[in-house]
Amino acid sequence: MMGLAMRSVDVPVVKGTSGILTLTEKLAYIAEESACIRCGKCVESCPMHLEPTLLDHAVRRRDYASFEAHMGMNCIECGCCAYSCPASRHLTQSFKNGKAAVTAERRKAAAQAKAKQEAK
Amino acid sequence: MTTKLVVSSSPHVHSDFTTRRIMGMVILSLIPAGIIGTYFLGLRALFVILACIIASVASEWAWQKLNHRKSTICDLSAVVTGLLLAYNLPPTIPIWMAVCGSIFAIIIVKHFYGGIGCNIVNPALAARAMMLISWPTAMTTWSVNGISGPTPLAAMKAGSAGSVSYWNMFIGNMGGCIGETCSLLLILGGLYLIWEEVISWRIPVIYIATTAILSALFNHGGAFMPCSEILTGGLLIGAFFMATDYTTSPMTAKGQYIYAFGCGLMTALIRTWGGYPEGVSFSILIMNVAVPLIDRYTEPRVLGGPKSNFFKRMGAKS
Ligand code: SF4
Ligand code: SF4
Repeated sequence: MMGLAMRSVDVPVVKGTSGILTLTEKLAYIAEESACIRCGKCVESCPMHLEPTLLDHAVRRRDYASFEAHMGMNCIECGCCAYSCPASRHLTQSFKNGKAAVTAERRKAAAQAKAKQEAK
Repeated sequence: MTTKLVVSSSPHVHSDFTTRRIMGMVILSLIPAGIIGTYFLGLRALFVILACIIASVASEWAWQKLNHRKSTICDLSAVVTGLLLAYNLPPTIPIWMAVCGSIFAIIIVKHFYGGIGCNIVNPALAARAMMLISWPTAMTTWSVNGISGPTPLAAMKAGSAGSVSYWNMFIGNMGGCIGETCSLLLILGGLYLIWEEVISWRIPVIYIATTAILSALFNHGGAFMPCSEILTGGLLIGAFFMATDYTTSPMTAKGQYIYAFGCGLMTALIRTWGGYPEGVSFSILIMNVAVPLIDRYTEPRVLGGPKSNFFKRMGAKS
């Protein structure tokens, strides 16, 4: 469930390739998202004991402070939550964005701190 | 043009457990109890059920049409609400009251708070509480086989115990609401949902056990009848189908234990000392309101990480 989608069949198979999955049209169907029904199935399935539904709401609000407070950076992007969500919410996908945004913010803060120090 | 090849982020597969499927299974597990309710209480019960379902679905459709929202009637949640509301009404209720209740449940309790997944209390129960307060006589007049009388629990509270045998209670041959009388089929329906992993065993089992044990403790003076406590007063339908409503119950296992215990405690308290003989709806409603707090308190610890600091988190932006 953590594999990368390949754009074309010309991608070479390398040492690190552990498998190739070809999915049928039915399996690869991207379902439309609907409202979270708070069923808790994502919470139950997360191996990192996160609460994906809260993280998802945080990312949607662009509230990255809350994303971090709920330990969103510990998400291992395994995809269990998105797989099990009855409302087909794109949870893992949203956490990838969230993590990227938090990392970018941190990097910016670090660069600013460094610049400040050098200016002294 | 839609392309067939979508290069997207993983995961690329999805379980076939969808909201609609879950709601469908809930409906399926509720149908037998409705049939037996109709059998014992007369054909009128069927009309009440149909009226509630049609009114719920229609009001959801109309509301979303008026607000230019995408219609969600296809996820069947309105049908479940209508069905549950009907199961909590006496069969003699005037149809227009049932329709009012359904509209209240869908529009005021569900959609005013943002639709599916956002309501803070269970729509069917809130509607029932509203109706119980607005039309107390119509809501508490029962008749079974043409003879009207109080429900066994009300009779017990009034002091005349045991006019209905346990067996009749078990199969549903007693006064009561349409869907709450037949314990056998309710238990089977609940077990089916647990088997299919739609609900977990935690809430119903702990709720029922707490109610039975605490009523025993509180009632130590009088004759104690655990079977009648469990089999009457809508405890089974409440524990299996209402308290387990996803939106209004906690998401973590620990939270569910607390919530179920709270429901049981409230029910026992209301049944023993409260003004109403049947405390199930009110206790679930009260615990519904406490759910956000429970959820916050029982947030799981990640990586043994910062010990969940309740008070700090209360202050933090959530
Ligand atoms: S993708 Fe992240 S949040 Fe979802 S189950 Fe895996 S670790 Fe948990
Ligand atoms: S699994 Fe989906 S619907 Fe259920 S709580 Fe998580 S995000 Fe919400």
